[in-house]
Amino acid sequence: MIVEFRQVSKKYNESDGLNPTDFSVREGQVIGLFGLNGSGKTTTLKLISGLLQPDNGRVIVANGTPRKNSQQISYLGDKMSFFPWMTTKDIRSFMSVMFDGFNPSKFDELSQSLEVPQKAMGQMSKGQMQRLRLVATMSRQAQLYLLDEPLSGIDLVSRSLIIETLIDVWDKQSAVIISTHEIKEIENFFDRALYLKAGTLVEDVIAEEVRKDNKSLTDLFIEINRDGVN
Amino acid sequence: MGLFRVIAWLESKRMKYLLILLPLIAIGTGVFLGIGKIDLTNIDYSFEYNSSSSGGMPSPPLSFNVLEQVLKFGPPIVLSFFALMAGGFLAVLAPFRGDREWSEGQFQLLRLSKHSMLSILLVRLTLYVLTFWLFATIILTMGSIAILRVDDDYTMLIKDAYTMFQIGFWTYGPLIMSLGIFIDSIRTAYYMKGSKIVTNIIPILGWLVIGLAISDAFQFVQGKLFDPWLFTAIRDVTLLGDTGIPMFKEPLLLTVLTSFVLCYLGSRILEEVEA
Repeated sequence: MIVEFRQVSKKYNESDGLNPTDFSVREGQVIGLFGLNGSGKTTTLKLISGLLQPDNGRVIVANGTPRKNSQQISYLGDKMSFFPWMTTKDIRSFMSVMFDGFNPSKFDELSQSLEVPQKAMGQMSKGQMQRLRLVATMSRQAQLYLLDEPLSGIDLVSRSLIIETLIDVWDKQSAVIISTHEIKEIENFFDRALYLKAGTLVEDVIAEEVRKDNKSLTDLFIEINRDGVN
Repeated sequence: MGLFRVIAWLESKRMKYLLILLPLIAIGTGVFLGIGKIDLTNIDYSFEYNSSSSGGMPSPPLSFNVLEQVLKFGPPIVLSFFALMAGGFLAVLAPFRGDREWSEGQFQLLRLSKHSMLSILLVRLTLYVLTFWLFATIILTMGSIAILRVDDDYTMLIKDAYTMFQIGFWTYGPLIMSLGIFIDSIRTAYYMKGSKIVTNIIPILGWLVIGLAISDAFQFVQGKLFDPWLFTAIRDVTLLGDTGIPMFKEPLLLTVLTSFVLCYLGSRILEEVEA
């Protein structure tokens, strides 16, 4: 088991955060973490990454605490970015020094595949920046990849290609958790889906079983959130 | 070594406008001291206070000797002291985690790296201390050159001034700078908790402290610094040092330990602030 969430909760104030939640993640799975804005997706990923500490419960990553095993987690945060003066080449050097398991040749290969330009972050478009962040995150050898809104800023045409490229290079001994509310273009890549609503895990489904019922993960998302945010 | 290089690179980029001030101050000091141009022996120091105000006691004329000493030794000592204070508060004036670092998540990136916050802060401290030691040494050397151009009889006093500077710098420099780093961590914590008053007031307090420190330094130079007993004491200490008695090891050890504790507390604050 790569991730174990045992009765984990986190509250920022009375309404926001995450209610007591249990789930676990095995190696080889691509998991979708779905929900509307404010449903607790980012909180869940931050708890797994160790950036946040739970109020109650226990988070176990690779048989240890997230902080202890932080180098087994490659996290693309929603607001996490490189310094704007850093060029693609600078980021390659920066990642090599600061993170374990960074593979420079994989970084070069992915940069080329996803057409990341060789210039400073501050001079890139939002989509180019997001591609670069994705490349840097996926170029690490880790047991768990956490991608928070990875398609934000990326045009509709490129979304599927980007996820396909990333899944292609992903080490199948690890797991990927992708948080998004833009499911449609990439829903075929998921093995499993966790649906959050107002800080509560309301559904934990195997994608294949949903498809057998002639439904899509998007249909289920709409069904769950039909009445909006509680 | 990799972390040292990366942090040096990040800090030089983050604080480039403040760091540009250092060579400008050094050049300004060189011009002020007139290295290679002005012969200070031609300056007439014999001016007096105006004592014509009614009812008051007449002010005594300034001591020629003290004023001459201040003019000769003041700039390098005061500017070295200024370098120390400016270095200490640079961390406050250019916070490690400003609005931009927070909103763009660059700090989170460092936080998730394989290096602990403590090691990152210790590297920052080492960089600040070395940078400002180099800067202050350059200033002091320029001052010494200016003094020697006036009169080469001052060689011994310059040696004393260097000794005094080294003792002062290594005793107080790391302390002031680690305090700056600690204050910056508190500022970050308050920034995260949304208390804008604290985050806005700390840099203002930092400037006030620098201003007061410079003012005190001038008074110190005028009143006490060149008393003969101080130089005699430094020579005695140096002699004791030559005999192997560790006169300045204890304060230095205390400084290293206190700086480490301040960096440790700062790192704990930065690690917990997200939670």
